[in-house]
Amino acid sequence: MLFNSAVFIYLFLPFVLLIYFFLNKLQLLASGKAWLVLASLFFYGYWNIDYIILIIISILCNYGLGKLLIKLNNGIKQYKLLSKPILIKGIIFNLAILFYYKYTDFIIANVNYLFKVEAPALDLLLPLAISFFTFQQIAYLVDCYKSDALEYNFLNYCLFVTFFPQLIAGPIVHHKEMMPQFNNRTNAYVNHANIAKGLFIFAIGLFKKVIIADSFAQWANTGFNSTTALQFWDAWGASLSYTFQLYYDFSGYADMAIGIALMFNIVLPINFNSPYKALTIQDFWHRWHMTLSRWLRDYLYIPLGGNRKGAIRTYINVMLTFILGGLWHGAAWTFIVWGALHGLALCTQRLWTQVGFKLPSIISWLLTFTFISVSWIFFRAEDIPSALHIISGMLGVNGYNTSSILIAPGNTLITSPYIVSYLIIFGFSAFFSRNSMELSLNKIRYTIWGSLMVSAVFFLAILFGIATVDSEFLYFNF
Amino acid sequence: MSAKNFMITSFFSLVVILLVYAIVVDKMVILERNIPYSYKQFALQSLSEIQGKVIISAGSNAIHGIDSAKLSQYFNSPVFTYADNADYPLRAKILSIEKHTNKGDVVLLPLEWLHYSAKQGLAENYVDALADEELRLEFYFNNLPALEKLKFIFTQYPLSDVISGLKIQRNKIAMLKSDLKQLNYFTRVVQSGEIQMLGNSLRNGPEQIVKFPTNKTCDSYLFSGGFKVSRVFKDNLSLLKKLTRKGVAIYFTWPAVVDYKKSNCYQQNTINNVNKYATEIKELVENKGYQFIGNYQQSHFPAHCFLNTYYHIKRECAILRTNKLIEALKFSNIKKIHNTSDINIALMMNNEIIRNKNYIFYELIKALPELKKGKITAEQLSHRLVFKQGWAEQEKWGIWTVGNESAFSFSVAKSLLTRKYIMLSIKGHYFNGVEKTKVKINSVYYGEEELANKSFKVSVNSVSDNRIDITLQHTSAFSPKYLGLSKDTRKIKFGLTEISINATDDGTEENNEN
Repeated sequence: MLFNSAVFIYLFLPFVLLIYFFLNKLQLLASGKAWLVLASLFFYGYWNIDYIILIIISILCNYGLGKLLIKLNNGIKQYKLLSKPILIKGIIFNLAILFYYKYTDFIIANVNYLFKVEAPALDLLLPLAISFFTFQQIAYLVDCYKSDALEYNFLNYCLFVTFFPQLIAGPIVHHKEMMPQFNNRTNAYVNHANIAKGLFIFAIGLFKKVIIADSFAQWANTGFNSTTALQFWDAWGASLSYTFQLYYDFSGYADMAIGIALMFNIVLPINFNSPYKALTIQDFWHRWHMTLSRWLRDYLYIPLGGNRKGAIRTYINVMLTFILGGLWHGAAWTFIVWGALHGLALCTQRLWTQVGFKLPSIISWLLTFTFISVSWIFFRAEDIPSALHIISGMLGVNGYNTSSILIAPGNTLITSPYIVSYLIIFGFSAFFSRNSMELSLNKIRYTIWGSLMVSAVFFLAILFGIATVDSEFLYFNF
Repeated sequence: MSAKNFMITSFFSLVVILLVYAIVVDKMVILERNIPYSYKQFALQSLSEIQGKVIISAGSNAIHGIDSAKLSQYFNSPVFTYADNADYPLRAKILSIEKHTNKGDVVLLPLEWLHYSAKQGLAENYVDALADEELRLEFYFNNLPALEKLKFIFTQYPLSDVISGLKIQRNKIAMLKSDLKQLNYFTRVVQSGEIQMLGNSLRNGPEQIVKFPTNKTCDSYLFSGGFKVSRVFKDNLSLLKKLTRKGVAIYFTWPAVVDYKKSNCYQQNTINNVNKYATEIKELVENKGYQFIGNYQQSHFPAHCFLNTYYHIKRECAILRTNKLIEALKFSNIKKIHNTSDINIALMMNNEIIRNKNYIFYELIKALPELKKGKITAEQLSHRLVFKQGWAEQEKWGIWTVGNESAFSFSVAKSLLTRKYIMLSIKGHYFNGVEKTKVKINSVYYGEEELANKSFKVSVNSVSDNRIDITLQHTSAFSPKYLGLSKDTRKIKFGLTEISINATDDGTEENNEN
């Protein structure tokens, strides 16, 4: 079920909200939570019912392991010694599931290529959200081991993993920021201000997704799926379209998730902070998919040694973190290259800073944005030759004409008035305007115009939903 | 505004926006024609009162594969084929049939294989024709129940089509003239014989192949949707309950398919899939309580039956297929209807056509600008007057009468009716010798007159609704072909070139005002 689908907006969400607050009003708080867990599992199973069992097993095992780790930590010294092997087994268990579903076919394909064999692929369907709930639960196990986690109520734990606003594509929430909110009794009752604010943020996200991202998607897909060599303008048109599609798609999803959670009085962490305004790559990663950056820093980069083991190890750790971060997004060499490019860029920036090299802000921003835009080509392309095919077009290798890709009779990819106006309007919005969090974290003034805007967005979502049958969020694939 | 009021306002403004949008689509985009564009839709609507009729509906295989007249003899009741392009959604067809059937009717569904595997989404040619210039398929939309209409608007009808529909400048007069054109076409269909009148087109082939997928073998064409019954078909199957609840009996049968040269429709590599698929379909249909007549092999024809696609068979094969179907109906113990009422379909259709024509004429006369004092010259005639019956197409010099009786009408300005008389002048010339013409104006006989340049004094007391109806009767209208002058077969007599209108209190004409 997609956040932008009519069935979610007009049936699922209002129904779940109504029943949840009704149960809580009757002081059936546990039932309210159980209802939310059931609704979340239904939301998950709506996509493919077969994988509900997988997420349930994952929850049961991790909750059990977490409980055991806490008990061992609170026990006598000999018991404490047992906790590390249990943590390692827990992490291996989580990674094994992720590896099996996400990376087996990738390994088989590479083994086939290297050793000239023809082992058949397993063609496994990637369980939705597996990368997200695996990371959340690994963090929980590590914190249990480090005595940074409390022994939580089972229902709260289930809700922490399955809470449908953040289940499919993040933000990657931390138990410390969620559990207190689930325990807070005041959060169990209707709060009109939160619902109105949630509605407002959700509408902004919906607008980003259905009106901006899905339009950019058509142009990006035309360019990236082109079988003919892209020329200069078309290649830049496709690349920039994808750059903005990805931003508006993912940040639109994050806004919707934050808005929905707020309707349940739950505050999810901010995941985007105008990333295309970043002046450096480091700045970019402080603004883009912030909860993933946080996770990679806390549970990968720092455990690897961070910057505490000398300059060389720091560079190695940065590279490893980004390559694994790339691989987390998908089992393909394109993601590895994308991660490696960002790792290299961060290392370069670190080196420049150490030698005192500094660029003027505007040059720094332009360089950062251009690098990010070019690196997204690897993120989007089917394979590395396809990515190089676009980049060679951007460098003018295939010429400078604009007539190579038709997106509609009479319109070429870059000369289409729609794409140019979209790039200007929403490109500039991404660079210069206040983001949704800045807009909504300040005190919202509820006006008639605001309510009309919200209604208009919901209306347009219905109509645009008819035209775009295949409108999944990009991060659903990760 | 408080947060609570913000939510309430947002909710209600959304409801208002949705309602306004639905009204815009319903009333300004997919407008309802006065007369359905297609003959089959018009006939379905016109025959809706008949109780105990049989309707055959499917894709075009039903048009070319079943002889409704022959089936009518079996059922002893009127049989009509209401079928068109198989790409058009079955749901819309079922709902339009539901609106025009009664208790005791029978619906026979020789659905094409495509119907069983149809996916979500609408064919472009269907969506585009709902609100094109001619509103060719508006009938499907405008026959939907209100809730279905809303569902269609908000889940299937693209915004781009709404916008392009709104851009079309619709002119009431042009639409009424289009209705008249269609009614004239329906008259020709009814006159062309029973087969066409009952919705079939049985022809001898082979014909020139247009849009035929020569790159696809028959079986790959028939089963391009795969061998899996789709959710869409299951929903349509459930929708048929609406008909059975009304007391309409429903029977399924298999589509006529035909080989082409060496392209066999059920090749060995697909035959196992087809058998399994057909069994699955049959079980599904029968589990819902509907009977499936015959087996799919019975309606499979060899290449010599090929008409112009894998679903269209020649006349002789259609008759053979109808005979097989009748045998299968007997074998399945499908009872005859024995509709004892004396139904003459041709008469019913003609009466409906005349009734609708009169309505359109009436509307057209109201819609055209009223005539004030002045002349209507040759080029303006068909733009200012309504030529109802017995006229040829407008030519530069004027317009010929055709046949022995010709009628035309117009409305006059109210300012003219304040006087005692309207002076009406007719100018023209005769073909094949001058003669006198009997003239009736608003049912008043004005005698037998030579009309080359003739004025009539019409009392305003004989004018109601500002309307003037003129009937001309000729005694010797012959075609140029009959007279050996040309190949023109029209029985022409009087060529009208000008009309003048004036008003007076004493019978003398006054100066023209315009």
